[in-house]
Amino acid sequence: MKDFALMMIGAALVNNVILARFLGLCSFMGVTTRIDTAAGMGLATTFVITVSSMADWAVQHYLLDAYGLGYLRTVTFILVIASAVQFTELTIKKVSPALFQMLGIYLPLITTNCAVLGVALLLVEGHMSFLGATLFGFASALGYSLVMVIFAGLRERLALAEVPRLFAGPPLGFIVASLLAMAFMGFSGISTG
Amino acid sequence: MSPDLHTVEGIARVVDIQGATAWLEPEQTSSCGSCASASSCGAGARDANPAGGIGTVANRIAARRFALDNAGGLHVGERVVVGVAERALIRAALTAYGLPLATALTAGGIAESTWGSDLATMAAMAGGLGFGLLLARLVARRLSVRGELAPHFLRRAKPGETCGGSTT
Amino acid sequence: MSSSNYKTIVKDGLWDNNGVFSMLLGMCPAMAMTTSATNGFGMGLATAVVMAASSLLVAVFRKLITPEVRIPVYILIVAAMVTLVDLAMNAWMHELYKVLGLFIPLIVSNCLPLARLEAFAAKQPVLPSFLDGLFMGLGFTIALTAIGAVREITGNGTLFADASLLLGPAFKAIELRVLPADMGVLMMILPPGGFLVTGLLVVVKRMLDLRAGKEIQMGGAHSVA
Repeated sequence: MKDFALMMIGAALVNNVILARFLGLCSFMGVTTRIDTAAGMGLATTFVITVSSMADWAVQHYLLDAYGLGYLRTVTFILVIASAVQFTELTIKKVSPALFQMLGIYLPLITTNCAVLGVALLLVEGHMSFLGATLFGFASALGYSLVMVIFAGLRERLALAEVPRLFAGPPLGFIVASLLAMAFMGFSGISTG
Repeated sequence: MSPDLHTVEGIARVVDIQGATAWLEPEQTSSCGSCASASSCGAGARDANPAGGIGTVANRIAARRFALDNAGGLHVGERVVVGVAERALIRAALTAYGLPLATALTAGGIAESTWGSDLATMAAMAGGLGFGLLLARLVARRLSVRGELAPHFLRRAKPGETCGGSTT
Repeated sequence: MSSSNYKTIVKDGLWDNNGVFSMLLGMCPAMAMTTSATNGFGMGLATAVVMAASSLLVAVFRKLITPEVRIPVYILIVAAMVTLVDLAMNAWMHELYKVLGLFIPLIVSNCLPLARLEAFAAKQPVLPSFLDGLFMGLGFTIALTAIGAVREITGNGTLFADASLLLGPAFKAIELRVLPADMGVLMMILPPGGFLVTGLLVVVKRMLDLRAGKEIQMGGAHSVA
């Protein structure tokens, strides 16, 4: 239990998906203009990453390893992820059309989000059990959501400030992100075994 | 964009009137527009097939059609500003995604500590996910009935009013 | 096609509409894999090969790909090309492959190839598309090498360190030490430096654009034709 907890803290904070591993940056810059859209996107991505971590682990163990098809990993994983996104869309639509109306717009962006594919590839390298892989994916995605929301909060404040024209938009976002990354480096003191 | 922190505003266009209900489609806003991969994800700008098709923007917007009580005497083609409680989006996301994930992971954790085999955990997680989705449907229904999810009419949109994203 | 159009493709890809500094696409490898100029260069070249090959293929088959299925088809084509590059690098450039690691498969989810496929290769004939993919990829390489160079010089004081290890013995000549080792700012090689240098270089590009009298681009893919 303690191993899982440490692994999850490592995945969420110490090796944060955005600030340490540089994954998911397109959505990090694009969807964080407001806190609620960042939170919506973060939760949607958490769901997709967790589901696709489960599916990718299964595909890796029962298909790719069993038949020695490791070289097909990139292609199969991307297919699994696209299917996971479709599955999520269809499921939410069936569960509640009202919910789908509010949340559906974020889903197509998730397919090309490097964070999903990146987390899947990372958990294959980690040689974990099924539960471990799922928790790893879940924790990484939570770390992603956390950083998205924090950054959105910062950008909401920035939107009210006067910014030199050369720096407006993404460059300032990157500079703020570098400060956030510095702050998160403080977590690297936690030993996650 | 929205002066009131507790309501999020959006702009929609009336596309159909059926008796006392007006059907509206949201105008494409910029949660995609400021994303650098807007042109490649297919959800940013009008696609080559305006009539719609799987995965096109027109299809997606049509799927997001919602109903309002036509109390204000709206006509087809009018643009209106609708409001949604700010918490609504987060609450919707937590219900749709958080609940199923929570049940799935709990089920998986219990299965792992009881049986410890990968297959059992997988089955338990799938079951937990399904159960969570059913729960989500119930919660969503309750939230809808209480009007906390659906947008409500605020005012007619002024001619040049748009719902653009902020600059940083 | 007139030769001036080809010149536009080349200029746009390399600088005017640079993938990283103008369109702000492909940020993930731009910051992750630029801890040194050599890494940036290697990553950029791998992406350039993938982009050229997939643009070529998409242009060849563009009449057959219907709008509804285009995104999955593009992704599959890019994934196939990435697998080829991945295996080739594992076999023939093993050191570089180990350094770039996970980011070679991640070229699939790099927004830049997909954006060029959608904006250009889907509509243009084979040769211009191939050139667009190639030069956008080379512009990407230039950007990554630049970011890597700045980070490496400020962080380590070297330039193109390990070039002979990663690219081959012929490259030993370009390994330089620019500043003494203890003058380096370690932060530059760590994640915060990645964000900082990329942001500042985007500002530099904007300054150069302004001086040349062009509009500042706020990001997003633009079509050449």
